[in-house]
Amino acid sequence: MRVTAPLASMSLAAGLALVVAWQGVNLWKQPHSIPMPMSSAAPRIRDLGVQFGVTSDGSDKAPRAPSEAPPSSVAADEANPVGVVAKEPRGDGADAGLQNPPSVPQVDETALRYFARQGDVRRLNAEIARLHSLYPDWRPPQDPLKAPEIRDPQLDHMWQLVAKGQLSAVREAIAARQSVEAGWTPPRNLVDRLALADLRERLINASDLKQYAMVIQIAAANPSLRTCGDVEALWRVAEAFVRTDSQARALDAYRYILTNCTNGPERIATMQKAADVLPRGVLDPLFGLARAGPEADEVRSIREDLARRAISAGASDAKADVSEEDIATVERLAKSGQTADDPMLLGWYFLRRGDPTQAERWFRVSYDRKHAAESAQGLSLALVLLKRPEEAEDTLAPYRGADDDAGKAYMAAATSLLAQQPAPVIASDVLARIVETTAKRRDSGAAQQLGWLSRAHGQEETAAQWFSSALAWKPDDEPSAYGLAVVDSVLKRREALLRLVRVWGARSPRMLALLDPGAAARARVATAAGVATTTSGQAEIAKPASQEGAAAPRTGRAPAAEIGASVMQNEGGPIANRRTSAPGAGCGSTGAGMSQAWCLMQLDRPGEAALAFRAILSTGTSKERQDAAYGLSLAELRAGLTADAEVAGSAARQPDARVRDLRLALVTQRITEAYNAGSYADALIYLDARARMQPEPVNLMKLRGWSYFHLRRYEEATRIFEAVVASSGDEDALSALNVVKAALKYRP
Amino acid sequence: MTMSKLIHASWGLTAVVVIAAVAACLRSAQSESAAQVPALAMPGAIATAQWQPWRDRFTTADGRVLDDVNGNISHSEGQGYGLLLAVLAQDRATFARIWGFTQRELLVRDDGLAAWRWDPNSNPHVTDINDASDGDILIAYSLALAGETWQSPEYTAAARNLASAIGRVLVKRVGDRTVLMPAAKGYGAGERPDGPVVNLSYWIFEALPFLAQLAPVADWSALAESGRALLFASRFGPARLPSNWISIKTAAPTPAVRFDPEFGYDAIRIPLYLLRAGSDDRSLLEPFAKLWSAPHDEVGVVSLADGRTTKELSDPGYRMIAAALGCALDGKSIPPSLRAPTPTSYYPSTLHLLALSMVAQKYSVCL
Repeated sequence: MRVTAPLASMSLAAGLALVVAWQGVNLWKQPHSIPMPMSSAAPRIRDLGVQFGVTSDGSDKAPRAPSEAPPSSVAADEANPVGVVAKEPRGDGADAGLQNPPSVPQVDETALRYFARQGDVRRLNAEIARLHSLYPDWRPPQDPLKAPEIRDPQLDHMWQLVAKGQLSAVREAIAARQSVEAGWTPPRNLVDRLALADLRERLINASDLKQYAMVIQIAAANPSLRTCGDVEALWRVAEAFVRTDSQARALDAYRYILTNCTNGPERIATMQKAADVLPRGVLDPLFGLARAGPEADEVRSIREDLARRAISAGASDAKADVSEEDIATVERLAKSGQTADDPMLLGWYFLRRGDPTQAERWFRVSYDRKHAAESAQGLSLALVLLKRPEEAEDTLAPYRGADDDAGKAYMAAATSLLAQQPAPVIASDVLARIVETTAKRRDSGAAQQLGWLSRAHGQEETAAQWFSSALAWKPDDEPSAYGLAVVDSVLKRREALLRLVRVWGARSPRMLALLDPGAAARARVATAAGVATTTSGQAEIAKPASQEGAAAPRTGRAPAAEIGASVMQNEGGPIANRRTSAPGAGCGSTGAGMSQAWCLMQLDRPGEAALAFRAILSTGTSKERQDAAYGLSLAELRAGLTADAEVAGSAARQPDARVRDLRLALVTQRITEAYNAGSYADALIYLDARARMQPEPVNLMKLRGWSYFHLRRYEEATRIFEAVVASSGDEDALSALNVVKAALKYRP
Repeated sequence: MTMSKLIHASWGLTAVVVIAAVAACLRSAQSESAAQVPALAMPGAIATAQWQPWRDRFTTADGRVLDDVNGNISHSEGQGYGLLLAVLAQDRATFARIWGFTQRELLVRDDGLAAWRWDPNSNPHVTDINDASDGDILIAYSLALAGETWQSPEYTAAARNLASAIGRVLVKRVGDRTVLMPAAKGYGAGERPDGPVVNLSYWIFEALPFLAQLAPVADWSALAESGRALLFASRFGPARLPSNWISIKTAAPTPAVRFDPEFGYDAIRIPLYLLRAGSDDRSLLEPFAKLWSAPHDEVGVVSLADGRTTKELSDPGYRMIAAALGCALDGKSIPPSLRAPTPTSYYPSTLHLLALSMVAQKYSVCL
């Protein structure tokens, strides 16, 4: 919302005109004050109304000309323009009758004249307001510019310092004079003015620092800070009330300004500020105080802004209440106005509210008025929801490099376009820009869809590369890994497929299914079918430009998983060796059977070994099946396929020793799985179970130590690592100990 | 929030003419309102010739006291020291100037305490709204002295308000002890693992009787008593010195965690404040005297773990504290090079004037 800086641009002439206007009617004829909250600590503040005298004058009444003012109001000034200055106003007025009519208070106008002479309208007005708060019957001089003679150069200097806002220097000058001039006291109005200026700055500082109780305390104790002469201070006080949950008091403050103060820009800014901090429900009575003309226009514009804000809130929060009236208001503004903003606001609103048809309509209006990335983006999102991805992609294409938001929205549109079923035929120029943007943004989703599209058009190598890229850009993306596995399967790259299965098998049952001998054939058939539907028209899909990083997810494993793997090898290795009768190398590519399977195990190719054991399971003798089931369990364990290992283990009855070995291996696998999944308590349960079967090896002791560590059971972690260090001097355990000690030190 | 005391770098030494301290002509405190309380002794005056260079170097025209080794920021401690030195030097005009800035810029907290940190390069200038109780006490104490000295109701009223806020917010009962919290926030039992944490150098003992007259809301004499008791109980490491920051979570105080366990820039003020308050209790001051009795006249930051000096504090301001202690306990003469300070940097130069004026008032035989 706009907030006009009041007075900043106000000319001296206008300011003086305001003084004249004040002489007539406005300020002191107005009865109301801001009621201050009465905390137990704060004394009751006199109502300004009491000081000003309550009248029934309307605030909209035109100011009277100065000549209409009661003669007595200027009598003192005319009679003796400087007399008042020369007197000490802190006196009790006992000698007032000598120079002033008894009804006219003795008022020190030094400051008033000083500010007038300086042309300092703001302070002049503030001083008039202040004097009125002190002396309700006082009337300002008709011509405040008629400056008095300077009688006291030191005092004059002090006033100059006040005018410059050098408040510390004023205090210093007063104190310095008191040090050398025994008995000298500064004039009361200088003291008051200084105190007020200091308090005002304190109030502003406290307000800036959100010390709202202090703001209210200062304002409560100083009525002079609550006048139309300093609307800024009033705003701060109002804000302090809002922030301290005294909404009614805040409303009073704004109402006070709008009832009493005359400065147009300040009044408008007041309404804007109120609209910023108060709930809409309480604003209408305030807006009712606006005057006809520009202020009424401003109220209308504020109300429109409030409607916009409601729509905007509704666009960012689908649950926010938005009234039909606000929607109608903004729709009217969007239709009648020329800007692209209102229709765009409506576009986002309707998009958020699940109405893409309306959203499309308003985004189009906005886009037609101004071709901007944001409206294109909104339009594109609406079109995607409307299942018109070609238009969505086309709309955003010119903005795909504009900024990150537009880039994301473009990729969303492109991905929708690519993912259509059946696989679409995409024009080569469109495809080219999608490929280029996908590579540039390293967008995994679109890369994966490019993979599927490539497959659908029989371009398996290209597909493999897109899936690889997708996986490189989003290493945990199962669909991309699966896509890669499908291609490997179709192209009969068994080793590559098994490597993938080893990493992904536990997370991707459908990938495991590809190991089923029938799967590759089915995949090929599916491919053929896909190609059959789109045999012609599709340009060759470009491969992703860079393959860097694509290898990582195919071989990478988490460190903890490696711990598990090495433990497993300790378990399975010797047994496997015992069972292996075949020569270590080669394994004989032809001879299927037990020896080849164990050979593959020895070469740490568990996926292939698993296939071999499976084959024996379905064809072998009873003894062979028993061996094969055991072998398959170990192979799948090593490949990371625990659940399958349990099934395999039970597929054939196992002799006791084997059962124990297998159980040991299974529970070890569970330990590492639980640990890798962050389920440290579970890991400890499995560790305990395993410890009942066999003494814990060092690797698992460390895993136990870390599990305790993650559970913040630092003492137990310390004991474990210390035991490891003592028994093996293990360096990892030593550094682990240091980590635990550091954690102990900072434990809350 | 970092309330750890700002580092005060050491710097060179220059000597000028020796100026005899001018006797105080401060009025004795009025005490009708506290019949049982004996009339409070006014602290010793600071010679104009020593004060003016400090004033010209470390105060701005706006009344701000500059901490020149910390990027010319200001803080409530500096404003408090500036006010105290000004009133002790009978400089009514400068006092008024520093007070103008202090109340306008720092006395803005809801609870009436002073915001502790003010940075000329930030907006708002106050960059940490928390307070620091040593700053609060210095300001309140100086205002109380000024109210008496210049018969100013404004100063006395401001002193009373601030003293009441200190008594209400910062003087707390912890177990059997009445303690001074270092700030309104951040040091309590629930606010740090080893809270409550206190700083014994925030106990400005000489101020407490004045605050007691102004704000009976707190038990100030119990506070003074607990300060001495804590000092007895906080003799850490082979040097048996207090750390700057002390945890009083347990019955036996310990050096606070997350602060260096050392006797440093903060704690070095403890013997000065004791002496200024008229305490020359040898048993209380003995560890400090022992620390500084070494033949090579060295003052420094002491690591409490091994009692070794980790950083020499060569500024004459720090050495003046050691010299004042030697004078008070053993009648040692103040070295001539320390008798006429010229400003080096804000913190040690301030301590120098406070120590020297104390010696001039109470132990003029050492000069």
